[in-house]
Amino acid sequence: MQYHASPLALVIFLGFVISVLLLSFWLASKAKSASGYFAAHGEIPWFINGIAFAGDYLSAASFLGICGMIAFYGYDGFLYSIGYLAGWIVALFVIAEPLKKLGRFTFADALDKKFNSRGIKISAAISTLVVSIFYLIPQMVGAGALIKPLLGLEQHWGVLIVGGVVIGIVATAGMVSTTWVQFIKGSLLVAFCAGLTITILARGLWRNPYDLAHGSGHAFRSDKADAVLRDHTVVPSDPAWSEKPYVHLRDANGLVTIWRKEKERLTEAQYITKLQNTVTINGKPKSEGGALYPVGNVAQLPKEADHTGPLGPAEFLSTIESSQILLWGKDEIKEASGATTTVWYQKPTTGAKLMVPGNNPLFKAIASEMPQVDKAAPASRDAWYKALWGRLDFISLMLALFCGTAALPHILIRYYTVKDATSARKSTVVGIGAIGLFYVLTLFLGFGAMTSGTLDLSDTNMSAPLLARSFGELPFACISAIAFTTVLGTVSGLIMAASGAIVHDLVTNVAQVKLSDERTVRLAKWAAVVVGAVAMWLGIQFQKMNVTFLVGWAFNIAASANLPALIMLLFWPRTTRQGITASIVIGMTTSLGWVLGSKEAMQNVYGLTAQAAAEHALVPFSQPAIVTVPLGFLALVIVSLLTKAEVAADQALREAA
Amino acid sequence: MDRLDLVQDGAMREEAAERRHRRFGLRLFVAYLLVYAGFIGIAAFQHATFSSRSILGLNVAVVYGFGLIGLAFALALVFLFAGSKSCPTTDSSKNQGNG
Repeated sequence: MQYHASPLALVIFLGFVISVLLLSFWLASKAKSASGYFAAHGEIPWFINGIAFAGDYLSAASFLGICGMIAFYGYDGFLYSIGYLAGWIVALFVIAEPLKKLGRFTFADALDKKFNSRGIKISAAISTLVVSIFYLIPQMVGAGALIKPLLGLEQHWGVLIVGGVVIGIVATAGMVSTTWVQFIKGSLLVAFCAGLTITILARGLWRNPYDLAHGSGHAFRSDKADAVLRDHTVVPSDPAWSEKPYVHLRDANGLVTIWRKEKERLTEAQYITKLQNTVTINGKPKSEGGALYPVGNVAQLPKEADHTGPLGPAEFLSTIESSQILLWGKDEIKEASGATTTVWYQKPTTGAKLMVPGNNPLFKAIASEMPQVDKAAPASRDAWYKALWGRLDFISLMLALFCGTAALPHILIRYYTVKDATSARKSTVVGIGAIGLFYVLTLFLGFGAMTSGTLDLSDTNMSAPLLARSFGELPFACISAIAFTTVLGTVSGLIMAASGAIVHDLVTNVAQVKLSDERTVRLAKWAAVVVGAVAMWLGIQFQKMNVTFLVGWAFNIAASANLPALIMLLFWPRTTRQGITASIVIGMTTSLGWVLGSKEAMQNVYGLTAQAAAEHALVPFSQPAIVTVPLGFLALVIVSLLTKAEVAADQALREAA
Repeated sequence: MDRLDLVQDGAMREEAAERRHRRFGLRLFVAYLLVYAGFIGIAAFQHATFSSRSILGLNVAVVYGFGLIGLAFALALVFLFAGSKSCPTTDSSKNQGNG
């Protein structure tokens, strides 16, 4: 799709972002030192702190990625909502309370108190660095998705702008995300999404929403083959197309379009062809204005209606369930000439299918029965394995989301910084309430976007801002601005955490380099610049992927690297320092390796076609947690048991002395 | 019984209440885990169940999903109220102790 900057949207956007930045600098200057920052929490009411929890946790990824995944695949995106919230139960009941008893606030702190070991410090610092960088990637990709429709710039500009601004902020001033700023962002995000949901329900469902898309819509044809061929001529295509159900047709104006053959019918498809540096979209070169048409509509409403009128929340979902939605399938063809064409074809889908998980190619295995194995036919065994891997992939994702929240390095800090235990718990209840409400809204926002006639087929991440645009420039600018400031806040927090891990943990503590305060600060700033640059580069590499899928990967890595160590430290007295180090190292390297060797990485990051990616994938499914979390536990237990004697001897020696 | 004994006695009772509360939290966690595992189990192995009707014209998948979000909130509330009942004086005394 082509995007043009809108001056009104831009003014509102810049005004909002700049005022939040100024506010955060002002608040940060009031809480100058780190101790001032934490001391301030004692005075902050539990309600404010609770909403700030939501501000911390609801990153742009939650907002953009989940809405996008629901808009393209239905319920599947909502699985992430469910998992992210469930993670709070682990964080609150299993980790936060016992950790408080140890008198420590973070994973690294707790490890430090129990064992003063260099090996643990190195592995914990590296794991913080890896998790922070992996969590940074989706934030960067999200920034690109926000900038594209807002400014009409290509996606990588968004990544470069966010990266540049944040590096600038961190390197010159340092940025403290105060509770008040997080409170403002958290409440605005939830309130705006609630407002947007109400307008979606008030608008109801339209069979043909292209008039909502400000006239940029296109009515896609689906007709009997001879009717289409009356005003089109067939264009011969490359042999690579012969096995595929498509024809190239030229219309009266000379425009070449691609159509999908379905029995007696031809349905209009959309396509992008890339040959070296020329990109052709729907028959026109990109440089001459070739662009994908916006999509997303209800193909058929119950009782053949054209428009439902305002709907209640349950009614909205049940109406979609009994409608038919026009979704789009995707195909990729590599021609002998070297040209690669991506085709999107019309795929009418029943609402009933979209209201249950299993529509996304990632999880489609769970929607079909386990196949019967016929010993004589090896193909049936392959199908059985495929169904099994698909199920394990799904279970693994749900496990990673459940365990990941508590294992993220920064999430729980706010829990310990209110004045007493009851306030901490009250804050958490408010936080879970606000976050839960937001996640309930994602289902409405996602289905609203699916039927808004504004979706961009080439990028799922832009669905939420484009949905807002279907209501006008003002909501569009506001939503983009809120999401963008969320990205800025999250990115600067993560870059500071990562540079802290490098300078404080690796250089000062582990390498035991003695630095003056001034040099420490300078080194931290350089570390921030390097981490920021790495994150920008990775953000551009991963830009084709859905951001919540990327956050899911970050959760997998966090859960695998940190959770076994954290849980065993709290609940298993025989844990040794070697055991902890082994579990962090093994959990982190196996999960990172798994993710980078998966089919999704091959296809979206290294640029293989879907088929080649499936053949070259090193692992049978994409989510590692179900293998690597138990592996972390196993490593910890085995190494702890093996090193137990040494620890006992150590202790005896110390007692004797 | 002199003052020191009273303080120690209070601290021990407080410690016991805290421990009870932590154990209660772990029980709530196990309860949630079972419901969450049920959701995953249905999705992976009894998928057709998700499409069947439940309340308000919605299917089981949607109601179960909303239910998991609601349950997390409800358990956090239960934990909060159970905590404030079992150790009403914990917070103020602790603050004095640390301050």
